[in-house]
Amino acid sequence: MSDPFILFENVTKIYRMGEVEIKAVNGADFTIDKGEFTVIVGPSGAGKTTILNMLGGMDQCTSGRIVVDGRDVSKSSSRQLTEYRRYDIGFVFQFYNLVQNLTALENVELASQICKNPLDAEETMKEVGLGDRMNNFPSQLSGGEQQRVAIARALAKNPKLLLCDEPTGALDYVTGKQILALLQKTCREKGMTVIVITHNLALTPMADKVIHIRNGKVDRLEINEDPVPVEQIEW
Amino acid sequence: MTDAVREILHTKKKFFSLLIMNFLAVGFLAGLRMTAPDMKHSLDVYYDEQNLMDLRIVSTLGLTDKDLETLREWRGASGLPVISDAEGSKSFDALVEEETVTVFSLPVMINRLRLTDGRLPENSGECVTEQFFLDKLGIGIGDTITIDTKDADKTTTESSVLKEHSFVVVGAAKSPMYITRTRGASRIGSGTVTAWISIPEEAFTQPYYSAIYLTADELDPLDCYGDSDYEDRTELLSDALEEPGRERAAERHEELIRDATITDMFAQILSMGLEAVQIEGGKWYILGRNTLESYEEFAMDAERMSNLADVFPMIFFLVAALSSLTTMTRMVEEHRTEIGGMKALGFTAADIGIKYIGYALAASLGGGLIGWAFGILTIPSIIYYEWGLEYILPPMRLLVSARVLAYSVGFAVLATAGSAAAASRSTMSASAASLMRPRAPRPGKRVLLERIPAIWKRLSFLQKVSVRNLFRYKRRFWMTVAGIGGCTALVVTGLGLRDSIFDILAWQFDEITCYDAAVSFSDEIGVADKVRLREELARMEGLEGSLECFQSRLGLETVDGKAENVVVTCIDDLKSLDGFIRLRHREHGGGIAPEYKDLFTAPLNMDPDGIVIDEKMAELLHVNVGDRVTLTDADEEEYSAVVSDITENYVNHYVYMTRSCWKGIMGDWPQYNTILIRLTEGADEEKAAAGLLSMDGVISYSRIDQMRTRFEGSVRSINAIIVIVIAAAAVLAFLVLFNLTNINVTERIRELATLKVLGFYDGETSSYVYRENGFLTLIGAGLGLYMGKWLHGWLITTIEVDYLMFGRSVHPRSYIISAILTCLFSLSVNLFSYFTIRKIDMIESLKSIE
Repeated sequence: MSDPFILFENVTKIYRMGEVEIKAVNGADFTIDKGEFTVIVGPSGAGKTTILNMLGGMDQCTSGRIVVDGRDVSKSSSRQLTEYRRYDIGFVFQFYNLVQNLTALENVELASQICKNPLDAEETMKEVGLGDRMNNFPSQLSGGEQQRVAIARALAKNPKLLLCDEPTGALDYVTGKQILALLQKTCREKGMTVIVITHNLALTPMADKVIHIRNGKVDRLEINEDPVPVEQIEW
Repeated sequence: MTDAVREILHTKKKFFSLLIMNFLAVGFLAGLRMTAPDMKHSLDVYYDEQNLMDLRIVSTLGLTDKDLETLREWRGASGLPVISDAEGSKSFDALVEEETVTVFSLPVMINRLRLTDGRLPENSGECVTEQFFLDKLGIGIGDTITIDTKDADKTTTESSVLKEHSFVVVGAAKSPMYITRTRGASRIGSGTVTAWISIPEEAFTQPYYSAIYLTADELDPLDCYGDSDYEDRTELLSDALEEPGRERAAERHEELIRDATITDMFAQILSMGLEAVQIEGGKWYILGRNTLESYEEFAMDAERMSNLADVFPMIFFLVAALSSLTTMTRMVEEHRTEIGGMKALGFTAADIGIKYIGYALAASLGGGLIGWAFGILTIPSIIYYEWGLEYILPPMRLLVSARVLAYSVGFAVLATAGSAAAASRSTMSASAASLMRPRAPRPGKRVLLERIPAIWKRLSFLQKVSVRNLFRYKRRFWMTVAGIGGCTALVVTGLGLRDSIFDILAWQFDEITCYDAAVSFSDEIGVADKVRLREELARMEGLEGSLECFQSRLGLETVDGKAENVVVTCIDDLKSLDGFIRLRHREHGGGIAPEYKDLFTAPLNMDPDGIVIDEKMAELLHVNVGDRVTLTDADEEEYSAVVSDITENYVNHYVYMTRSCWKGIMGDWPQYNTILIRLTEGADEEKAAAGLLSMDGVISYSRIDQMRTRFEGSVRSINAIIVIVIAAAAVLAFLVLFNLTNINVTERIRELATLKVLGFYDGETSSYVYRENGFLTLIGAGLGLYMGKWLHGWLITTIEVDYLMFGRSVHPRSYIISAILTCLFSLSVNLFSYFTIRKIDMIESLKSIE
């Protein structure tokens, strides 16, 4: 068997708060293949976000090994991690984190200008369905539209990996569904590896792989042979 | 309250910078405000301790024991100050080792000397003098000096004014009469008195006194420099003494007539150094402390100091207050979620506000009190020390003023704690729910620059954000620009003050007053003496040129009815002054080499029927070319003249006119009484002065270089203040920038974290902040240069005293230094923030929306 696209091997993350040690991640193991749509679920405080942060190069693990496309992220310097985020990772957050003083299009261009093989910003905007809102500022867009801009911004970087931390957390049901559909479509049509964090168990049928996290460990790993399009899921 | 303490511990940097800002503002204000009062108080105490005269009486006929008796027994109407002491003093000018000295009888009660070494003279062969004079002669206590009284001897019937001429130096002392280096002019030796020597009264042969000194104990508690009561009470006494003065002068006159057969009495009268006295003219002159040259010089310096302290620290204070205000307001805004939470839990506005007010109080009261103590202890001492290098001062006495404490610390607390209170009040007026909801981000806006695609397209995205940000946060924009501008302005002002003050040395003494000395001779000089004087001049070594003219002192009446002293110079043709006194318009631009200045200004109108007055005088009189002014003579007669033009001048007041103009105004033809001389470089001026002064009819020889040195000395102390000003402005500038940058970073923390997540390198991320700061610094500094120019222009006229005009422009170099300094501070602060940005935790900053 060839090396997995993403390898998490006995990863731990321990925070020290004075005298107290908090084990946020306590020996997590999993692999993810290229082009897979993965959902990481678990109750709050289980360590989902910490895992995503380490995977995205925003945080370093205390011990263990994280390999992404042959690159050992766990042994990277801070400069190398910045490069890794710059070229390989696309992030989507719960609160969009758009630059308020740039138009939607400019927000996308902001990210693409620092990459090696960026996608065309306008094309990407059209793909996420915002062809006619390109020149609006974030404050002129709805929450769903802002999240689309954030996704476009992540996609335009042409990353190897799209990481989404509760992307629908701040959105209503219908809009949230549209966003998830967009992510699923991106994965299917472009072969993008997408990892979504959620606490909503109802979403698991849409994923190729579901990683259940509990107390900083992988509790259960599910593989859906036949994932369901998100439109057919109700919660 | 514990919350406030915790907050302080959490935000040490912010708290500390707030504390230091309050410290600086209060320290600077209190320190500078106390300097002039401290200086005056120190001198006042010294004067009281040494029993400095309150009045002195000199007479055209000399004063006798009978005069002394009269004064001691005199009692004025009730309510008038009572004379507590009266003491006669004998004095004359003489030479010691070719140096001109004033010899006076040892004071017993009044004007007592303060020993710095040795003891006071006890018998007639002993003397005491000044330490620096001993150093200058290279002798010490126990050595003997010989007083050459040749000149004074001409005026007495005795063989000499002194019984003995050799004196053993037994001590060195300070005299309250001489606190500056100025010892006055003399008609012997080089024409300038170097030092004083005091000998016991019994060493004199002359029977009469040169002056009688008076003191009134009731005046001691009054501050002679600060209290207008002192002047008023003294004037009451001096007015009351006019009457006995007239009586005694008349009696003395009769005594002299009675003794008129003794012809040599006439010679005695002359010995008082008062030329052309006629026996008929017996008159007392009752003079106050303000006629003592060094007393008045010190008063002028103290006045300049207090003028400077009036406004300057306030500007400083405002900049600091503005920055404290921004910091506190921002802090409350940062905590809006927390405040909302507290409010939702049922805490009252007062419960919540106490934390921020407590924080601000701790910073402002703490910083203010330490600053106050530090300021009033150090600043006056440093400045006094600098003054002490020029003056002969008593030890300093520091005053504590409750008023200064109250308003300096009060203002600081008001600005800092007041803004905290206002900010928390306005924040808390919103509902708890709306506070806990994140504040809606300010909508993005297009700016004008986008309409110019040629420029806009070339900008990178971050540059675009910067431009939009600059115009989006208008309040912050102006706060920062005002803060940075204020600091730049302070530095410009500090450097500019220096320029203005030191410029006039060269302008006045090199460019305008080109002559080296003015030799005055008596009105009644004989034709033969005059011819001999001209011959002497022709023979003189190192003489480059000479010009005869008429000089006289007149008063010029100002708007408020005060008469300013002016030196009037008359000559046949004003053009012939060229080479001795340069009459010209002031060149306003600054920075032009002296030899080209004439090219930039219109030539002066030398109308033979009008008078030319100096610029400062024109300012004081509020007159312009073509206006009429009123000249007054010693008898208060008034004469009207038309101003034909205004000439550049900085020190003292001068009026120039043709002889025919004088004739037209005053009615008589002026007779030349002065020769302006110009010496070649390296000429022996001491020798020239001695040679000319030995001629019959020559009254005085006044040297311009000595005037310059004296002036230089008195402005040198200003330099100390300016160094303090510049240093304080620099520290303040640094702190203001530090605070603003900090605020800028915390406000942007989300955006910065987003950029980091997107994979921007640390350098790229910080350049995002730098760019804006840099731009704000440039705008602020640019505006600050302009504000500084304005502030300087305003301040310089404020610290000027009536007889001085300082340079009105700041050197281009000072502008450049201020701008560079501001940019350097900005750079170093930004460097500091680089590390803050590096430490930004992406995860924490992106987790929540606030």
